[in-house]
Amino acid sequence: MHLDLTPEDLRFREEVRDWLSGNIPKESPPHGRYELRDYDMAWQKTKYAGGWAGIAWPKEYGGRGLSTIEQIIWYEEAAKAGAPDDGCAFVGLNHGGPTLIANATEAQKSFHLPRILSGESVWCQGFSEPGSGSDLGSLSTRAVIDGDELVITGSKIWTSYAQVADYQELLVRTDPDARKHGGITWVICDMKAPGITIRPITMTMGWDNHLNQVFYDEVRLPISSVVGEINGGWKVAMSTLSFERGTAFTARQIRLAKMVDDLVARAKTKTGPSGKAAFANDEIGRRLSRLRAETAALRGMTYLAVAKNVRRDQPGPDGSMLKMMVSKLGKEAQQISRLLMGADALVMSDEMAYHLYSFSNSVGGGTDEIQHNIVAERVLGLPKSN
Amino acid sequence: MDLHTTRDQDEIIESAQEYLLRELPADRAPTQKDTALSGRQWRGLADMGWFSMGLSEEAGGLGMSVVEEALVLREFGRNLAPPQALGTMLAAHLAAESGESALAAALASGDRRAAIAVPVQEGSTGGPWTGGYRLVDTDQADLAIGWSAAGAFLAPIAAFSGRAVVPSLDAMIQVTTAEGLDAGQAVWRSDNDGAFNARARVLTAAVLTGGAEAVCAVSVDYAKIRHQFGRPIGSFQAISHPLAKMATRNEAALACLYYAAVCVRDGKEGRDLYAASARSVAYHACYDNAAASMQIHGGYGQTYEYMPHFYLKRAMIYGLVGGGVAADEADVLAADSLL
Repeated sequence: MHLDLTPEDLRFREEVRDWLSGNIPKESPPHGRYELRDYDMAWQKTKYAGGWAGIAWPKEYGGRGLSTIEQIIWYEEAAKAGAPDDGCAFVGLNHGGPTLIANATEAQKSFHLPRILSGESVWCQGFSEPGSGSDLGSLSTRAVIDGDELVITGSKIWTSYAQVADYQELLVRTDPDARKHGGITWVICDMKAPGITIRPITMTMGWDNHLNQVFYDEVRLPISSVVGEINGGWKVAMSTLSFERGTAFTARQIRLAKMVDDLVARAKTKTGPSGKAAFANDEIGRRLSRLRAETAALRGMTYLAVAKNVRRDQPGPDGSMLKMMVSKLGKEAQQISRLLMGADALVMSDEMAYHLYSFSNSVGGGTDEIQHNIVAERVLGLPKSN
Repeated sequence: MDLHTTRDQDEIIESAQEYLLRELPADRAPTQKDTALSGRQWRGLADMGWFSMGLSEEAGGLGMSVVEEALVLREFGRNLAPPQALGTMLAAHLAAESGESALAAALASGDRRAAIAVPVQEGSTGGPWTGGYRLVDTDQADLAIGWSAAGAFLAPIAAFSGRAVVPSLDAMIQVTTAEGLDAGQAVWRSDNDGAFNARARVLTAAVLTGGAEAVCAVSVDYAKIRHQFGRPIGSFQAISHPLAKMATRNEAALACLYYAAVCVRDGKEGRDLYAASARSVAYHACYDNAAASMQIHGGYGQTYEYMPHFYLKRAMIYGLVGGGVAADEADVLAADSLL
């Protein structure tokens, strides 16, 4: 049990710090949909050129072939230095790419993986449907096999960055008669294919550059774009979700720690309506202290999860505890932020937008309710609830 | 970097679990009448080397670190070992650091036991608080230890004036009230580098973490056995989701404990922030888990016969010792940065 980095890790960290100090974009991310893609992809290309894309990805697909520890060092240092997050590169880097590495054919891997890493292609996710949220296995977007093509009809929803994406990790029902999870196929969807239309969804704070609904009207995709077996998509999809709940949280955890430090500093200087520092308010002080202590605990949880994953070679169901913790603390930080705003909460500032956005923490990527079920059944061994 | 226990550490955990399950199982609690372990039981714990495991070999200890001490105390917490165990371990450290080697040896061997002194107000910075105290777990103890950020003291119970044994929150633990302390009879050591308080916080967090885990485990067992509406109640989300929350609190408390223990052992930056966070997180985990467990146990959760209330009471006790969770929370806020 130790927190020491090896001399190689320390050298790696120095390299990362040096590189970051000269390469982080000066301007902050734009708000427009297409400008955002340009900004995120420019950062991804810069990282790729510097050799920092895909640190833990296999070398043959353009990665560095290093360990999770190096990947964590990168995430930590990048977040500390204020580097942009993965943005619209997130799905490719953290879902699509890792799924392909684990399940795809050589042809699929050698085409897509270098494009994801180099910032050429943006991926989006196509899992949830208007009628299938937590009950993902009930999805009904149909794919009929016609010769060497799949013909897809239906709709997906909550698709982040669909309008700027090149490819989509798409779950479709290929066998309507099979038992729920049995008839699902994981397919790479070309977002430029004829028959696709995209409707932006306006979020609570007025943003319409993030969420979308995607419609498929007899969209034809080659059978060769199926990943894994036809009707074997559930297993493929599950390998992605547990990955998302693994190291992908490291960067969020560091950003959260920075936000909490910032809240503590603001609470010390900002005066409330009473004329006293917000800090002197018992409720704010106590909630901030507990938030900070739990954020310290979250750092330990992240490292402990990594140590466990190294021993069992894959993320386990305890990733769900990490996800719930991240979402709870992120929401609490935004609640305290709102308390510190006072009357400024009446203004739709970036701060208020992020406050409203935080409500999605416990919904996106699997609701807290589903995470509770996973922990109850797979960590505690409780009987299935239904 | 590897926050996992090593094989040697796993062996320490396993031998503690095996011994305590045999000699001091938690389910003895509802029927235990005494407010102290017998001399044989106490000496058994001493013979395992646990009271002096963290002392150097020259000081008669096993030369282990705060990490190994924490792993054992977590098992003590699970099994509702008396607070004297924490008090005696810390007292042995204080005695050894103060050059009182005979006293340290007597604590290590099980000849003497230290209760824990909780002042009714914050102590002064230059020595022990001389006003009123609540002394925790005094039966068979002839010493009491108290500590805060300022320093730690060890005094004979006889040095406390106006003592009275009073009805106790936890019927397994004797509580004595005292009106004052003759500080001249106490060994006092200023904690200038904060090392004693950091160790004490980690070890207290360990006991609380074990308690949080144990009360979750008894609740999960109960939810699998207890049937209503023709099904085990654990199949209802109204029961299973609070249990999943308990498991998440346990994971947070354990991870924070490990992180803090390593920081204390290796003198890492952020030691005080992580040590204070560890006790705060573990306290809330133990208290909140016990409270949720009482609800899950329904009517049985309101009875002395069932386990949840024991852990609720221990959370309250270990949340008050050594400056209390209030001091942890203030220090967490005062610290510079999490990163």
